[in-house]
Amino acid sequence: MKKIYYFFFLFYFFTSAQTEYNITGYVTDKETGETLIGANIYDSSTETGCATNAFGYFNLSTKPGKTKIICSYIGYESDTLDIIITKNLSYNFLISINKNTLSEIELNSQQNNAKSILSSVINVNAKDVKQIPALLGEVDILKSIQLLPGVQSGSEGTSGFYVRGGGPDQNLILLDGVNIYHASHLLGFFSVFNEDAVKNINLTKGGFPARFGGRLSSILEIDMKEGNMKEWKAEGGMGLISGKITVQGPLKKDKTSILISARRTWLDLLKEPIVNTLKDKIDINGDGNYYFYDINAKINHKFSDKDRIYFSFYTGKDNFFGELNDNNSQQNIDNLFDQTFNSQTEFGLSWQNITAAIRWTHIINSKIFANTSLIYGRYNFDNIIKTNNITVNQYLDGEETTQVEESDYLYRSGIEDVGIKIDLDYNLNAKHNFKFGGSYIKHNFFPGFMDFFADYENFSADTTIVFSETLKPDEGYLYIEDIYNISPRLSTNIGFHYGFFNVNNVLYQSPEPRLSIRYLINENSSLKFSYATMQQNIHLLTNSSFGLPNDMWVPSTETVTPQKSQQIVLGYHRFFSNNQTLENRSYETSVELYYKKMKHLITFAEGTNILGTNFSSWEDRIEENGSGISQGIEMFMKKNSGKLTGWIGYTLSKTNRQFENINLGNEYAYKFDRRHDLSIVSFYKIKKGINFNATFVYGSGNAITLPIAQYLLLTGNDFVQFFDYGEKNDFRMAPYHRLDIGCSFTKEKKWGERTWSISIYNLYNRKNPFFIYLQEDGKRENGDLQYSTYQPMQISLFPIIPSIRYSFKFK
Amino acid sequence: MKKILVLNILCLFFISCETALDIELPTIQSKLVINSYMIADQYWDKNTQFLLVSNSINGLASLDEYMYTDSIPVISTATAAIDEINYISNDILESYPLQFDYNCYCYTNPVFTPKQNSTYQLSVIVEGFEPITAKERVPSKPDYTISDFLMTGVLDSSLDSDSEWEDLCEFSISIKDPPNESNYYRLKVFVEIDGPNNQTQSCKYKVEDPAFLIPINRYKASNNYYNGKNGYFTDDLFDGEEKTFFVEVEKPIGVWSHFYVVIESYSENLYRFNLTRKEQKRDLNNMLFNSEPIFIESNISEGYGIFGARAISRKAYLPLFYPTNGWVDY
Repeated sequence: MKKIYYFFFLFYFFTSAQTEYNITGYVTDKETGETLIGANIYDSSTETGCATNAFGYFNLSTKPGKTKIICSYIGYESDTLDIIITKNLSYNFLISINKNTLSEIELNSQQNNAKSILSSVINVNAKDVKQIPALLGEVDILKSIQLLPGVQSGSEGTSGFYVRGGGPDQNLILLDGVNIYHASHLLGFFSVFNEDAVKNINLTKGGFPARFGGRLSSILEIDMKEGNMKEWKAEGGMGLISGKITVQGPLKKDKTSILISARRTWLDLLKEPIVNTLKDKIDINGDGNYYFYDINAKINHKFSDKDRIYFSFYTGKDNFFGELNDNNSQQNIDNLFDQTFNSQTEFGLSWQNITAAIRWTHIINSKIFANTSLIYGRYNFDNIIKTNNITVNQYLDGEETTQVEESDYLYRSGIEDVGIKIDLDYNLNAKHNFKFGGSYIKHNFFPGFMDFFADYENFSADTTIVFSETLKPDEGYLYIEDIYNISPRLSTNIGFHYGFFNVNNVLYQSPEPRLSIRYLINENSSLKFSYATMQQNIHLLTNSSFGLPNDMWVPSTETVTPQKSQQIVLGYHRFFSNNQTLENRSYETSVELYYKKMKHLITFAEGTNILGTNFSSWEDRIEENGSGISQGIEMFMKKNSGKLTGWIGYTLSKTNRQFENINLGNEYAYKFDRRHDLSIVSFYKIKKGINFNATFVYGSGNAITLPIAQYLLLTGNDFVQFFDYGEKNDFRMAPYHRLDIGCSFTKEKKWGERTWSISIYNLYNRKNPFFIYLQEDGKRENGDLQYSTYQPMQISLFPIIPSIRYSFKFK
Repeated sequence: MKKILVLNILCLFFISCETALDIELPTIQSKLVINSYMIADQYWDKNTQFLLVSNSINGLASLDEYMYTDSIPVISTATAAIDEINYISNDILESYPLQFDYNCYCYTNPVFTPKQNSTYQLSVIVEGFEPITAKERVPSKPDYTISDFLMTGVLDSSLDSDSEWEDLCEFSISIKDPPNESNYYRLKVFVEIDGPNNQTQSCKYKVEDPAFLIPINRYKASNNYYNGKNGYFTDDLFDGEEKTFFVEVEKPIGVWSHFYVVIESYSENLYRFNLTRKEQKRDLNNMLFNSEPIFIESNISEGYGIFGARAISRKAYLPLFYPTNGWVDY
């Protein structure tokens, strides 16, 4: 420990010969008291700047003397502080929404990406997300992420996303710092994030700084709003399938705020009219219901200028349940008895996320900012089926027999995390800004067991099948990174992340060096390079591409080693602007080349799948030690100002996988290898209160395996057809493309503001492939021999779907 | 308004559509398909040992593209032979040409008897196809003994029962496994009734042993036991040792005169073929969950199918044979 102190001490002397002072503070919205993430603080004398962190805090090193400190944030009026610096200074900027600017420039990125050191980082404004036309009018954060270059959707309409050739489990989704394991509702069609409660969305695809770890492909940070510190506000909306409301306000003005947001589907409430409509046409002997809900809550308390505490909570649940009944009676069977048969089957399918975090931010001194988080997360999945059959035989001689048959099936799996995280930000001087800290998480995996009880006339069972023992691994990391401004043009982020994972006394360690370099060619353009190694200690077992709730999270074990990756990114970033101030820039462009190598990947062994449950543990159903390579070029152009705003993202990429026992050990295309991926997102302001938006997406078809040959094998006494699948994933589904449009009409009312949003999903009714399967379409018989012909069939999900949504915001 | 809402919900759940795809698969060269089995120390009897030759067709082609002989999809014009060869040098020790037999639509040689621990090479030539070869080693007959035998039921039960199964017996089987080779076994128990209408049926048995908890027994096993009619087991956990299993047997309801136990030893080629063939069939209609497609393993070079071998060892329990413990080789 002493050596570390000496190191810092010497480092300090060598690098900070000049006297410097620090200006620190928070940037907050004047009207709501909400802190602003990514606001820019610029020192005109040194021509250096910084941005506020996830808590709205900034720390800017400056030299003594007279200077102007400018605080700017897109959509807000800038604030300037004229000051003579003679000592360290604490100052909080309160800035107001620029209503004039807002009318012209609603969409803007919040940071000058050419100047930031990190590459492959995209910040998405929650306002952007709300404007994108959505399936059934349900605004979806994860689907808007899919519109960014390098990010691909899995299947039609679903929320799963794939970053630079990585799997869906390789994305770390953090809601206020807590990992969300299953981020979707309704079989993946809607994400769990309620955009009304979300303040900021940040996606890192590569060039990971040392503070991040645990996943190979991306880190998606979603920050919840903190709640209005000034006055009580409410907003909400109603769509075709759900409604939501958000209430926020001060518990104690300028000290404590609270935000509560809730969303619930009302499919179950609409069920009655549907059932009544269908009742006359279909013989329905049962009942069923489905709903999901989300509740977000956050309390933010300011103890002093130095100490704040945040408590955030999220729970979301899907619940599908019902019963089927079958009653019939037969008279005079064999002239002996009358029989009545009553059967009742109850079923339930539910999955739930719960997360909670307490975060305490403390300004230790003018140079050090600390954030300590206690986190809790849980995901569980339950499936219950109960049947009860009662057969009563009433004999003609008056005797009566009753036979009861019953079965009870329960499947349960889940994961629970409890942890602590400490992050420190040490702004040593204008050249060095250190970030360091660590995290520890105690996981509790209960990957799945099945209880099955049956008592039938000819069959009985009472068994528990455990697919894997409960595992309680320890996971943690330590990190340090130095944001080193070597010269005004050349800056680096050098870091080291050391992770560990201890499972059943097997310790996996991961030293992970990280490096990002930015060379500023001029004020508006830069070259960036980054290198990162990552290790992922937990895995997702899934066959589907759309995020089924019974997808199973499993840890690395003695035999299944952690996944690893190395990624190199080379990028060119450029702003095209009218002048060099941030507010008036017009276009933001970037081109990035990436190369990612992955190893120790796992996948299901040939022929196995998560539903093909049997006695074997999940470890016996997987192939390990797979490798993968993903490479590509991403182009991004975003227009930030004017009546027409939006972005175009294009990715040209290639991704493959290789496993010893799959495809005869040969390399094959990854299921979501997508050669071309194009997204065009546009917003057009027709006039005040009326906005038109359109989104077009195009993607090369997903890779699939189809039989190249068929032949007959003798099975018993019959010839049975079998297939040769040739090379795995050698065929492609049809390309995916779709145009969505929408229009919103906002009007001021006495009580506040209302918005009608009309959108049309899949405007030209493209039948995009969801999946393809082989359907038996003909049989041929030769005496006792029977064999079939097969036809590939494509399932498409969503045709043209119009939708309407009503939103309101009280004054 | 209510109607609009109902219609929208119906849109979501009922308007997904299914389209027949016109996919053009590349035309690939048709290959020969071999169905051929050998059993140690038994004559090629056309029923359990034979060679069937057919052809493959394109993945989605019409069934008419198979070659037919009298409406049976087999090729009758092949030149086929089985050679006994030296395991190491591949020198031919004995050659057995095969002739097409219209009774079974297969190729036979009545004097051919595969021998334990011998290696054979199959060659088939058909005009218009790549010639194929396949090599297979015939395993030795399993060496096992039965002990701790206890009748838990009766063979000739004539009780009326609603159940299809009833207890028969339990016993221990000890098998001596040859060292330093991968061995694959299969255990079966049958009941039989003598007489003019000789009838045989499979019994169900339960074994609690990890050797049975292997993928090919999927769906017939729980976490710790196998419960089925013809489970496989491997020597992965007892290579070169003597292994003992405790077996509990149930028989089909009925009157039977005796029962017998069969342990078969499979060549690795045949085991792998059976395993992958079984998995592909199970997987074929699993359209939604995209499990990885199964590639059927084959020892046929330039073709499909199997040239497989097994060795069978049976012991029958004949009640009238007391006091010899009732067990005789069968």
